[in-house]
Amino acid sequence: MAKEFTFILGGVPFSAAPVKLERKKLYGWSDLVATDRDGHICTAAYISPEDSLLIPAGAAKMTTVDERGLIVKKSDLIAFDADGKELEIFPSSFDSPIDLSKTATEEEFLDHEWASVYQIQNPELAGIVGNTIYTFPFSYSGGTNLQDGFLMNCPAGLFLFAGTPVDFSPVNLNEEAVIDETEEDVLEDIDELDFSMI
Amino acid sequence: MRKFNISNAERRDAEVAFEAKSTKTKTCYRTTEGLETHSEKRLRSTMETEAASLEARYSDSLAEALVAEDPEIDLEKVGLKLEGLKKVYLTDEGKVAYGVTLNEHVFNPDGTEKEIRPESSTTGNIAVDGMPVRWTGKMMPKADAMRRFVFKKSYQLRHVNGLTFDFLQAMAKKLADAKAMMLVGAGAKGIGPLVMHTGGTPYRAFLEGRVQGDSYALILRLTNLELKSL
Repeated sequence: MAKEFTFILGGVPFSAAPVKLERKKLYGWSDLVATDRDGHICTAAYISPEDSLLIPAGAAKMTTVDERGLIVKKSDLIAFDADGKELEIFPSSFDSPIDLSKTATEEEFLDHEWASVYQIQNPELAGIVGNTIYTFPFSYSGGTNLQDGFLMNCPAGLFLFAGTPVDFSPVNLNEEAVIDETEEDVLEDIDELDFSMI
Repeated sequence: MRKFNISNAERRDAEVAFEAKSTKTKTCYRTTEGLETHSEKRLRSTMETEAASLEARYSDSLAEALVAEDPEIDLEKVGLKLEGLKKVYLTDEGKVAYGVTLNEHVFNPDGTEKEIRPESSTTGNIAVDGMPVRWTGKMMPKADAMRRFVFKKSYQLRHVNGLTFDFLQAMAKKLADAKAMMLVGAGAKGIGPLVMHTGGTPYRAFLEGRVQGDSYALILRLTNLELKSL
């Protein structure tokens, strides 16, 4: 059985298994396939420039190493912020109820970049949420990464949004920006407002 | 900041700047002994120690070989630090392939193959001279837009002089008064998706405006995902 979140609204618990919203599920996906001159499918790999060692795809792994160059297990790591303060470890939102007691404005909702969006299928909860936007601390798998969670009804159903806040403070006349980087000139074909092809 | 070429409802265009707002917090990790750490690429296995190679080499006696000789580990090479790796393609024989053709195999959501097409890459289209990002005239109430699309990235458009301040502030005011977002588009007809940089993801884009006294915020919101029931 899929893991479920438990939402508490007005003292009443509501459970639902989240379904992640992904482009792949809505529009499909594409795979890059390489063929040689004879039309045979090739496999991807890497070559090391120093010794021409051929390395299978997936065999070059990002690893955490300490000052001595020794590989360190993730479980032996302690996370700190930029000021050197140890980061708090948060439980997964699956492990403790999500309290829906704080509401948010549309602007507060908009000022986020979404890392993940999940469909929440619980018609009873959707009915009680109505047009209100609820916000809460959220962590899918637990750890130091705590995101802002939002629960909101949309025409397509009830969705949970997880992301990080972005500050868009208004600017005045004196706050002129300076352009210091440009892209090359390009042309592009036109297409219709079609999400499957973008 | 980078350049952004945009036109308004009257098709007057100007070069302005856009600012990416960082949402990432810097996290560093130390060991339980207090040693600082960093990430680097290390070698996990070689072509010779991959499962397919071992099966070809040992056939039915693979299980015994794994127990007796540990052929799945190359003690000389495993754990090597890797830098500057180049991607290559290999033939069935494990040799580097030359004259490789790359095709994109496109699949429908149900897994059926839709088409095969040559590999293509995107080119940035937000700062093209004579081809500004345009207002399409398609306005959508803010409350509707945020319930129809997942805005994955947002950028703030910024003025670079007094003239562009008036230009962008007027846009922001128009949108703020309407409590709406404007669909903007790129390309010759000004209706195509926006690509922020070469090789980047194409996104549909909306402009949102806010005004506070003499200040304004004009926010470009990018989406490539609709809020649809699965």
